[in-house]
Amino acid sequence: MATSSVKKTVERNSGLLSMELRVPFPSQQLALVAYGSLFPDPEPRKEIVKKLRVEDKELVVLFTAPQARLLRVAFHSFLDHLDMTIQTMEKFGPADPQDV
Amino acid sequence: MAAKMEDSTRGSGDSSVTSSNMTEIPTVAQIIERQAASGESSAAGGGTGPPGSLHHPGFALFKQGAEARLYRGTFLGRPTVLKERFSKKYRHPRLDEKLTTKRTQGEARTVARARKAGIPTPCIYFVNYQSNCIYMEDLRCATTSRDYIVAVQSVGAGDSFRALQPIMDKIGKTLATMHDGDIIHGDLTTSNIMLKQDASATEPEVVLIDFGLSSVSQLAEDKGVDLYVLEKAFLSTHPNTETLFRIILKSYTKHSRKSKDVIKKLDEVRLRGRKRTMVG
Amino acid sequence: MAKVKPQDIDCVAYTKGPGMGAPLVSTAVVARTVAQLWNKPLLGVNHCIGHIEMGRRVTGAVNPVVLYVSGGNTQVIAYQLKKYRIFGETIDIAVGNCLDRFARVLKISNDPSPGYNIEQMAKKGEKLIDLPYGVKGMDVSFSGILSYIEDAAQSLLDSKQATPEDLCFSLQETVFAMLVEITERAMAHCGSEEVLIVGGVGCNERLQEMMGIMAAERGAKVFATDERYCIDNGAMIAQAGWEMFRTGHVTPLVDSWCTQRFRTDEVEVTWRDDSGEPI
Repeated sequence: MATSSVKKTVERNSGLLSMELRVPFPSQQLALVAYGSLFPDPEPRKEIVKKLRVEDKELVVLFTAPQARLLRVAFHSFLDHLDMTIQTMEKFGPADPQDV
Repeated sequence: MAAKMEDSTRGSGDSSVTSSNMTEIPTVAQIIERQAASGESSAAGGGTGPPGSLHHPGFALFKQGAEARLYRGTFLGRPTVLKERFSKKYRHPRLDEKLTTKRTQGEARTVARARKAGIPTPCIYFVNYQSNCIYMEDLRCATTSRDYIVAVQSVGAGDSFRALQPIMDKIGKTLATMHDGDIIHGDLTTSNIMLKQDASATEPEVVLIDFGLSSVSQLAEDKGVDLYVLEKAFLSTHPNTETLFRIILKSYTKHSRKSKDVIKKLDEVRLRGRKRTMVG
Repeated sequence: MAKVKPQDIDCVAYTKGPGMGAPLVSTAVVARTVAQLWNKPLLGVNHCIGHIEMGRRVTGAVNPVVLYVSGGNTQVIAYQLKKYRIFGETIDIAVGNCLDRFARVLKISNDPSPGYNIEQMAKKGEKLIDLPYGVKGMDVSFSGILSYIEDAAQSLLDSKQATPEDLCFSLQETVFAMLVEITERAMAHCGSEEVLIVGGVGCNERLQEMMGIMAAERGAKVFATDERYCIDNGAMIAQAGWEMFRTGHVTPLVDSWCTQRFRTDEVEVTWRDDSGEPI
């Protein structure tokens, strides 16, 4: 459904690692559905911060964590949930994605 | 138990029984008086139930609990309550016999120990270990703290807290004395904490009953669990009474020598309940 | 799959908790997605309340004392003043956990479940071994029994004082007697004449039988379900979700997070009132 891009940076002042994931959707409506499905659950570990937003037809996710390992954990589980949302859209969503 | 609860609610709303205004908070003595008049108190005698029981001539059944029947009568010239533990058919006969005997013995033993430690509890006159019967002092002029709390709460909203405070204080003190004597009650509920007030007494007295699940232990853990059992029974019987229960704990803390460890254990046991993830 | 179209659906219910984090979140993600796609309200349901409402629905019990027994839970629950209040519970491990861990000590098979195999073996047991009995007020404790049997099992078996079947039998007789006892205490306490058994361990026929004897002695009725409803299932979440929905509950997305700890008594039971009549 979507190809995504990932960008990793180290923020100079805080020493925190951050990473941005952009997931394009066929429509803004579907991007908003994905946003609504994925933002409510907080990260189980407090050091990890996950911020979601929608820009045009893209779901943008910003992860911030003190260690690369934590960043990877958060990212992995996010991908699992993202996959679940997309599969659900494909199974139960509108035939024409503009119709939502 | 159900019938009892209904009765007491009816009693507290029945203004013909008492001359006091319904909206006034009743005293312990008034509740005892009301219950006596409505025929279901501990002093009601053989008014209800059959005149005499087949197995216990001269004694009349007045309450059937989950594992014991209570009869009222006279034993060696004294007003007596006969508590007969009966067999529970759902459990294995050997387990049943073991539990029934153990609880009858345990109750007799702990009551003796409690009285020695200065905790008011009905005096045991005689124990028949063959029939699992305990003959004990008939508490006259008494009500359960459960009935009293319910009666007070049904009348006053804001004032009920102030009215109940001295009683809660006394309960906390009594429990502190009990635990300092290394007695674990094992089944603390507001039904097992009685309030007694004779005509001559100016203040009600706290009396503990029903020591069937009791044990002797010095461990703070066991005492903590004992308080936890009461807390749960208290809050589930009397919803929204957290502040009231806190007075009991405060008074317990003040009067018990080893309260610090016990309260710490109580917190631990509470947390165990909250922390359990409860999967599936 | 049920032949249901989105337009036949009123709302989407999912399990908010308690449970294990990962599976809870996965289901919630899917529930949120379909709820948004179909534009239906979302309802976060308490797992335990799902069991209770499904049990009431299937058996017709009106206002029962509920014994909820499973691998993670041991609670005696009764409705009072808009809450399912917990009158008794385990102060350490759940009864199902105790049975599972005992099964491991005896190397009893997991197929189809350790509890089922213990039940079958117990039917062939004859001798009652003395085990600790852990009733504290309306609460129970199983960890003492488990550690006792973990220590003693091997020597009892080696010395031929007991067979594995005897141990299964003794464990069941003891822990179920405890459960029936606290249930009866709660019934006496609440003045209830109905008892409902839910949760995985509730399938056990010996537990149901013992509960039946207790109930018959006090003129009460037992309601139990078979494994189709006892064991965790999706329909129970739908049933509880429906009760919530029809009495005005909705879970906004922002509040739809999952929680591993979610007490039965945290939920406002809007769909029942204190007269016991349905709303």
